[in-house]
Amino acid sequence: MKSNNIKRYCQPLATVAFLVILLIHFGAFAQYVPYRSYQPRQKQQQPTTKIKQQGIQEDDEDEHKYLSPYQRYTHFKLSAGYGVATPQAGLTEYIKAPASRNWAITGEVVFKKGFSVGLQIGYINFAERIARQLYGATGTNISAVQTRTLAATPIHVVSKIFLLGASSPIRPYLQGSFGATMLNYVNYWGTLDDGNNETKLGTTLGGGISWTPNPQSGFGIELKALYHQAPFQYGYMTKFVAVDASLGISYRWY
Amino acid sequence: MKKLLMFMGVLCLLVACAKDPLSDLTDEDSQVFITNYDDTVSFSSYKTFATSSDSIIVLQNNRFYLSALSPELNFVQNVTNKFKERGYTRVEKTASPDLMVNIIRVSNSSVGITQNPNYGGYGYGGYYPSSYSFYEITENYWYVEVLDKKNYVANGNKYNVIWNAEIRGNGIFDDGSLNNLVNAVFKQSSYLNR
Repeated sequence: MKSNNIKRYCQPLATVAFLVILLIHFGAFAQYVPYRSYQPRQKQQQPTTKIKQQGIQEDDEDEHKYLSPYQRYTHFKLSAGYGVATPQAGLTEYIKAPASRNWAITGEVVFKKGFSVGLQIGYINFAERIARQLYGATGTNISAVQTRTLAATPIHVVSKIFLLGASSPIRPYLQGSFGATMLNYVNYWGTLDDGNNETKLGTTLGGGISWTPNPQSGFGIELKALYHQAPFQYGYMTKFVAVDASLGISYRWY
Repeated sequence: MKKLLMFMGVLCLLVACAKDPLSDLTDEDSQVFITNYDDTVSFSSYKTFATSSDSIIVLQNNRFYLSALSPELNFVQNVTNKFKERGYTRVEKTASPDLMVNIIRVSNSSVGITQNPNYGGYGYGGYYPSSYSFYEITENYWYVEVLDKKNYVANGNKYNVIWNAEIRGNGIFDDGSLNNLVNAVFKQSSYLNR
């Protein structure tokens, strides 16, 4: 049992370490890549004229070219995270152990105004082994080792509000999502399974931090925590509620 | 592009993290003992029982035959010993026993067919017709039932099953584990005694 626990907690740590090493590799690689050449858009005459009319000093030429492209353009971002999730009330009657297999992939369009809209696909897999017990009802007794599992696969529309501008290497954000959450409940009595598979409307709320250590490379680190919920009632479960925390990498481009 | 491919590689690694939850389940942990009993019956009111000592019943896809392999006879002996330990006296079938104990090995298998839908209209007009896949389900387990012979007439000329046990899982036909299996079902049936 102890070695199982070590395996359970070491596996996500090893994965996170692998991702960090990979990120360092990308960072080092980025040292040799010159800054992406930027072809300025053809200057529009109308705004400049307006500025001149208002008597404001025209400062576009020098300042504008030092702005990050991510400040100037709507851009795209792809991120993947891996972490742990803990069950909350509604689910804890069924499973109490944290999920060590929890990942999410997010693709989003980040707008200049400081918010983004995208699609998020995740996977949270809870599993817990319950030592042999005698389960009884009137006239029936069952002795079994139970392996309780619950897999949640949310496919959600996600939106984020960034609290700092695109030029900041660290961008905290708040996020919310809703969409289909596929829930697969399987309770194994020994090898006999009792299960139910349903798709429900689920939501998540949470926040995180996006850190781009080298703004020139486009790669970054994502740290976030989310609260998941979806109505689901079967067996020992009355509702799907979980909190997850994940660490991951991201790549943005324009 | 190279970076993006590496990134996609990481995603694939993450996707591949799904794991069989039963991969580390031992044979002992896989075993399930299910007992059902008639809670209106007083088991102490019965004195004698009978069971076949030279064979068991093998139930296979709605037909049955008798079998007398060594583990099967050992299983019968273990069950017989347990009933004796609980205070019941073994008698011959012809001696009007109060209880009849049937020991059955269930060995069912069934084959099913699933149809994969067709795909068409992609690329150069390729068309893939429907295909069929076969799957097979097998189940092998011990089933022990106790019939009430004593109250045959009182029950409307029928033998009521007043107790049954199912033993399922891996390793349940191994000779060395038979004693533990029988112990387990009787341990959770403490009401089954004189």
